[in-house]
Amino acid sequence: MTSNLQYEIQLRPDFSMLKVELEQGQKVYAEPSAMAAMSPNLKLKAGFKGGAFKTLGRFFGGESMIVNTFSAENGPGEILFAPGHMGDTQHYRLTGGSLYLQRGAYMANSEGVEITGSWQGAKGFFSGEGLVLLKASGNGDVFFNSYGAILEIDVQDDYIVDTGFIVAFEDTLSYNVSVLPGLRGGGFKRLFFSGEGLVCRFSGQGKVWIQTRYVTPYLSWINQYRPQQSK
Amino acid sequence: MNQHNQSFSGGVFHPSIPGGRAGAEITINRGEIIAYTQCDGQPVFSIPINQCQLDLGGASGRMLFCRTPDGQLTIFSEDKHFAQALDLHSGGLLGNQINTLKRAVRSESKKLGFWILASSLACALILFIGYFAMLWAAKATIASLPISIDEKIGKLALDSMDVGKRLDSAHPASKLVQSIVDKLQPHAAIPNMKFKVIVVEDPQVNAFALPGGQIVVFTGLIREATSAEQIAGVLAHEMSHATLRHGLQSVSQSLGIVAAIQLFVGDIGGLVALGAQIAQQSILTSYSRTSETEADLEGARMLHAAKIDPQAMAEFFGLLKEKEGDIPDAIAWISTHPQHSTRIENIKNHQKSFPATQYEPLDLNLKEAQEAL
Repeated sequence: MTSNLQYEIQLRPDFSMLKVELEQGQKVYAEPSAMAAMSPNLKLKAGFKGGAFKTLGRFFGGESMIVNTFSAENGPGEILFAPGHMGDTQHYRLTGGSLYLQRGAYMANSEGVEITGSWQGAKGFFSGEGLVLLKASGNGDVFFNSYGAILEIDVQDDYIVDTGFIVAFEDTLSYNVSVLPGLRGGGFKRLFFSGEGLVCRFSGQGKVWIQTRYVTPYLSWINQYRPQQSK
Repeated sequence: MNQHNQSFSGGVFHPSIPGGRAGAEITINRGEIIAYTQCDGQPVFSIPINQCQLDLGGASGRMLFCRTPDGQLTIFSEDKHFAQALDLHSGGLLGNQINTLKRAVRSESKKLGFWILASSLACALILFIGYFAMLWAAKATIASLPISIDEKIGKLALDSMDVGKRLDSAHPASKLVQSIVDKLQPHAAIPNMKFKVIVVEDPQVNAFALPGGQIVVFTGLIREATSAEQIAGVLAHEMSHATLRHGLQSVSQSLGIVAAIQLFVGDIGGLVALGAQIAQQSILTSYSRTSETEADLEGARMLHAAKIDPQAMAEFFGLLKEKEGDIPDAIAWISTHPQHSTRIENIKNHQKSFPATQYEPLDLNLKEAQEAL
C-alpha cells in the first residue's frame, strides 16, 4: 500500500508551482530540471527507471529517458517543482487504473506509479499528438502540467475536444479521432477555412483535462512580432 | 473450480463514491460480480451476472464494462481473463455479447487500417506521377534549347578532364575513326552538329560522347574490335548520346529544370561550370539505363541509314559479353548499363522494323590502324 504524498499546488493557474512535503524515507520522481528548490537533506539520484522498454516508451512519448529520484533522508523535507512553461499543474490519484497524458505533460509522480509510452497507432497519427501517448499506471500520485490553465471535464456520454487542447484523460474513456461533425460532408472548403480541424471524440465515462490555451496559435500570433534578421 | 478465487484489478463508477470513481479488486462469486473498492470506508458493490449489460471500450479498446440496467453502477476491468471468467460463470449467457462486441471493435480497426493504406498509396502515386512529369518536362525543355549550350558544356568538360595521351589526328587510327564518323554524320538526327573524334591511348575497351558532339575513343576499343563495322557500331551509339542530348538531360536532372533554363537565358558563368562538372561525372559513370537503350536504337537507325549492318553493334556487345561476362541477373536491374544480352536482343528486334537494304562493307583498313598502335 502506498501512502499519499503531502502536496500543495501554489500560484495557480498561470505560474503554478508544486510543493511536496516528504516524510522520512519517502520518495518522489520527477522529470529532469523540474526541481526549483528543496531542503538540503533530500538526496537526488538520476537514472533510467523501469527498464529499457519503459524508458524508450517515455522517450517516444516526448519525455526525457532520465527520471530524477528525490528521497528524504535523516528526517522530513520539502521540494518545489516548476513546469517548463507557464501553465497550471494538476494532481491525479491512481487507484489501479491508468491515466493517459499528452506528450510532454508529465511532471512528477510518487512511488507505485509507472510512467511509460503507449502506442496509439493510427489514432496518434491522425490526431497530431504523436504516435505514442504517455501512460501513468499503478497506485499512487501523478502530477501533470499544461500550457494555460486546466479545466476538468467529467464526461458522461460523448464529448469533443480539439486535439491540441487535450492534456490528460482517464483510461475508461474511449476516444476516436474524427473531423468536426459539422464539417463532414461540407467539403474541403469548410475544413480549410473554418480553422477547425481534427478533433477527439471521447465516449464512455471518465474525466478529461483540457488546457485553456493551445501553443501553436500562440506561436503563429507571436511570430509576426519577431524581429527580421538584418541582411 | 478455483475460478472462484480469481480476482481482477479494475474499478467502479457509482454516484456514492467521492469523485464518482474508485479503483477496485473484482471477483465473480455465486452469480454476482463483486467489486471491493479501496476508497474511504471500503464499500463493496455487486451486480448479478444475469442483469449485467456489457460494453467494450476505454482508451485501449479492451476494457470491459458491466452496467446495471439503470446505469447507476458500473464495474470495469482491463484484465484479459475477466471476459473469460464472465463467460464461464454466466453459463454462456454473456459469451455471445462479448464476442459481438469484440467483432465490432475489430471491424472498426480494420476500417481505419484501410484508410491509412489508401492514403499512403495515394501519396506514393502522386510522388510517382510527379517524378515522371518532371522528367518529361525536362526532356521537352531541353529539346527547345540551342545546341550551342551542349557545345559549351562539352568543351568545358573536356578541357577540365585529364583523359590521357591523345593520338595525333594524322595517326592511322585517328583517321580510321574520323572517316567512320564522317560517313555517319549525314544521318545524324541533328544535321548541324559538329562531331569531333579524339583517340586516347588507354587499354580500356570504351568510348564516350560529350554534349555537343565530341567523342573520345580509347585505343583499347580499336585493338579489340574484329571489324571496322564494330567500331562504327560503337561510334553510332555514342553519336546518338550527343544527338539525343543525354548529357544535358542528366545535367538538368541534377540541377533541375530551372537551372537548365537559366543556362539558356541568364547568368551563365557559374552554372555552366557546374553543369560541366556534372556532365563529366555522369558521362564517366554512365548514363541511365533508358538513355543507353535509346542510344542503342538511335545508333542502329543511323547505321542502317549509312548502309552499315547494325548487326555489327550487336556483334561488339557479344564480344564484350565474352570478355567481361554478363552481370548476374539479380544486380542487373540496379546497374545503369542494360545487360549485354538484352541490348543485343533489342537491336535485333529493332532492325526488323527497318526496310530491307543492301548493306555495304566499310572500305577501311582496320589491320593497318591496329598495327600502328
